[in-house]
Amino acid sequence: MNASTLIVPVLVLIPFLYAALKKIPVYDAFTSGAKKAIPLIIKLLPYICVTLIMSELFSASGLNNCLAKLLSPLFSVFGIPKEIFPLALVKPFSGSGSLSVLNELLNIYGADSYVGKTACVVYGSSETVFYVSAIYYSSCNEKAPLKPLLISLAANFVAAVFASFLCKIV
Amino acid sequence: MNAVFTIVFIASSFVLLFKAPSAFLSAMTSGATKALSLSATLCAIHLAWSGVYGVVEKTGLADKLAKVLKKPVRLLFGDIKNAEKDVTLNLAANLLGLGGIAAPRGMAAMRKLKGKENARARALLVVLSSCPVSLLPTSVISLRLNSGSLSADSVILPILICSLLSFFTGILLTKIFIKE
Repeated sequence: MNASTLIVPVLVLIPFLYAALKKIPVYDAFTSGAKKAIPLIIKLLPYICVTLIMSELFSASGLNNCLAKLLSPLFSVFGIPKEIFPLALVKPFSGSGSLSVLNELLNIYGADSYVGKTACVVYGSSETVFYVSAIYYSSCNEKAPLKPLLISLAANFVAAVFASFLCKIV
Repeated sequence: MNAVFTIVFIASSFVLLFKAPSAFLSAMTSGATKALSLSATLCAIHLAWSGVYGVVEKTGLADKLAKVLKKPVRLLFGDIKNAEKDVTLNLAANLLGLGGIAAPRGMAAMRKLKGKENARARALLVVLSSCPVSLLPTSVISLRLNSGSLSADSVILPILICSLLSFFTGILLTKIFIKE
């Protein structure tokens, strides 16, 4: 039993208890909140669809592997171990995809090895940058500008470089 | 995004035309299928968490939290009026690793931050949501436990340090490259 698994249920329980004490109609409050979710998702669907079709074609054509090969010298220069490449390349696009890559790395190299640890830190300190930028900007009907995307990618990259270094010394 | 999409789409299709023309249609439809299943997952997450948030909002706890975090949010975003509460909750939820709460609040904030004068605030919100500080990397720890790690929680501190580095790099780069 991990203490961190308690965080979410406890955080949810607090407002519910508080609401009960304040005699707030919890059922009505919940449904009126949930109601707002549906129109949002319907609005998002075309954007998600177009992004995923693009990434499917990209990987089916094998161009993603070419990109990985092309970028690998850049990664090596900054000291990111080459075993991490697939993880670092998938993470900006897909949370579930990168989670399965991370799982694979842990199974191959072991969770307590240098590669395993570095992979965990790189995964944990980065975000699905393309996805966040796409859904945030599509929710206000604006085309996602390039600058915030590049800034986020750069910041995540800095964290990955530092993670590769940090795991070597601890 | 238009340029990226067009280039990637045409380049990929072109390669497929020579390599495996039969894979083209299946790639298209599997992309759309994935989009549907992802939307279903997203819808489930949003339904559950928006419901919880509905309760949080009625209790006034959201306003209290927003008040506590007002100063740092003001420092980063300046005066953003009615979007302040959503931005605050987005940052707080990201910090705790509650993506389910963070995304809907972030999107609500994006809708409230209208117009050209808020372009920088929107960009900063996207950057901060893309470089969140991670206090509790729950999914990483559970994966490590599953694969038989003897020190599953040894990555918590390095992840915190690296995500802080990413967070502040994001703020710094936004300050430098995105002007008011």
